[in-house]
Amino acid sequence: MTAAAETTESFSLRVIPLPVALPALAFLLVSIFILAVSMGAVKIPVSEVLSFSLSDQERAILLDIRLPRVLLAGIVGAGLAVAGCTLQGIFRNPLADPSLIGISSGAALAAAAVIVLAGPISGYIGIYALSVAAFIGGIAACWVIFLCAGFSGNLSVAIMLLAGIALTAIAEGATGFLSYLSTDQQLRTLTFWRMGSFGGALWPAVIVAATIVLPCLGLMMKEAAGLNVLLLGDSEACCLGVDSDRLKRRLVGFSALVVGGSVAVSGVIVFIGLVVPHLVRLTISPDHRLLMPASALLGAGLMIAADTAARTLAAPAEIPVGILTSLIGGPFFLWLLLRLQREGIT
Amino acid sequence: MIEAAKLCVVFRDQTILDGVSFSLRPGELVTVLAPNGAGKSTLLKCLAGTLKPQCGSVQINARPIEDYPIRELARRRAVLSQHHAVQFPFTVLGVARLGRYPHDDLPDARNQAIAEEALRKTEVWHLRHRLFPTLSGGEQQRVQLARVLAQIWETPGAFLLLDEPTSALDLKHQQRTLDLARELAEDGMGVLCIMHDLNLAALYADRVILMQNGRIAATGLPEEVLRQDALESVFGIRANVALHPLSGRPSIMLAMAHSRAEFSG
Repeated sequence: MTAAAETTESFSLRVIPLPVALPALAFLLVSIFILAVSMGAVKIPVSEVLSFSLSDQERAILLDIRLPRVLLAGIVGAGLAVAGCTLQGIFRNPLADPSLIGISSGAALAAAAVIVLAGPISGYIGIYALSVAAFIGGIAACWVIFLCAGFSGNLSVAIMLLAGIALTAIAEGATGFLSYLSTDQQLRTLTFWRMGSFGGALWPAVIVAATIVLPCLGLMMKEAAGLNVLLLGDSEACCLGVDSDRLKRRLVGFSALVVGGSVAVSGVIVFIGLVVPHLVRLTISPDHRLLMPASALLGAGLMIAADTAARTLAAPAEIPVGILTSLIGGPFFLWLLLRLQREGIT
Repeated sequence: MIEAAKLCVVFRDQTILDGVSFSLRPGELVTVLAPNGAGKSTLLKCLAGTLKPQCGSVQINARPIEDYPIRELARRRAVLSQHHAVQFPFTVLGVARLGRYPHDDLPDARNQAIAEEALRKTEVWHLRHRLFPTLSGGEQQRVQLARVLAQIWETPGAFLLLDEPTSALDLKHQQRTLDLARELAEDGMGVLCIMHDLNLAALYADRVILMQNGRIAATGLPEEVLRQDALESVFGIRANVALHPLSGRPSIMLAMAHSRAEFSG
């Protein structure tokens, strides 16, 4: 008992004083942002970016290529991180992540169906249609997971992960089947998109993602105090004046919208929703009133950094950022699993 | 006053509560005693308003419980369940602070102070900066009790429903917890306490309720209810009931269920 207690204690690295946490993360995000727009095939020195004294060519690169891409990565990163916080709170389970429990796969399958069956799509309406389809796929996956949890019951890690495996397998299989039906052009889109990437991000995608993801983030953060109470248990939350069923339904809806919007513009990017909230809990606080905004900032920062690495490491070729987050997030996930196992939390 | 009339709860063809009527007045400490599976926790959930009985009604201060907005109810009654775990690394103070959720219109500093006072009451204030998941079972139980106390802090006429609040506690803290329940009742709260320790119940309760198979088997003063024949028929135990030398309350002494003489005979 004491040994386990000490282990957990030593893992709490609450070294960052609470009042400076958000400003520090915001500063980190802005720094990463500026570095990210200056890096790439054509280097634009940071000083030039800051003073905006650019040549026409540099200005075109910055405004038409780099800025939309970096903004999109930031929005998706923030969205996935906060969706991770929310799902972990709802399921009272630190391993819940949109990609691990099959929500992203469900969203991806629905969007793939639109790409293959509805023919070529483009422009604002096309991206919105993809987002709505992805939202519906994500909600369907959530519904299955809630069935497994018995809606009001706690969801054990084992059941949740197994349901995630099953959902991912079904969605992968169906997406594979769709790829047989698809044309060459569609197949390229699908493949590129199943790995997750911000390549080819343009302003329409940024606008669509921003209009879907950012309002949902605000609405989710408004429920932070209720989400804290929900961690005590469903009926305990009811006794404290939280309508837990209603709160869960709302939050799952917002999470599915965020995941749907993100998947529609960037494909499946794994592990951000797992890694970021965990780091924030470890170093700052598990209180959702701080955890959610901090995760949004850190998620945006990490995603921009990962995407910048993805497009510069093997330049001129580009690594899909989803592969990069898998390579980092996978080992992290295993470490987390071992740690929880050791503490008997699972 | 909380008044329950003719509650019945059926779950998967199994009758859990079968026409239970019951009342809890402000200023009294009532204990519910029953064997496992007799429906104690279900009764508590009905009284708390988290479970809707199939028939019967629950009223708080002559108003049906379902007519209360969930938040107003949360300011009037607090419930300690048997579920204490919190999966995330909240501090002890952070958990106690959650009890002030229905009072978020008050200044933060005030809520914080109340949470700390509540932790002092249950003697876990010294642990306030520890992480809740690292505490022992008994410590966690006392922190959750503090959280529940914070919820109805300084609310005379509020109701406190406790489901086995002493199950993980050492003897000293069992005594302290019941002293605390007694004190709260004397300050004007209605306290309902489900427990298994017959002697503690006899010593502290104003009224005792014995339940069996979803019904109330006996209710009244401890000395009226805790009698040898009732204990035998409800709990299936052999016990002698004496008088506590100081309090004059009943004191229950278990006898060996099967004496050697009976075995050999």
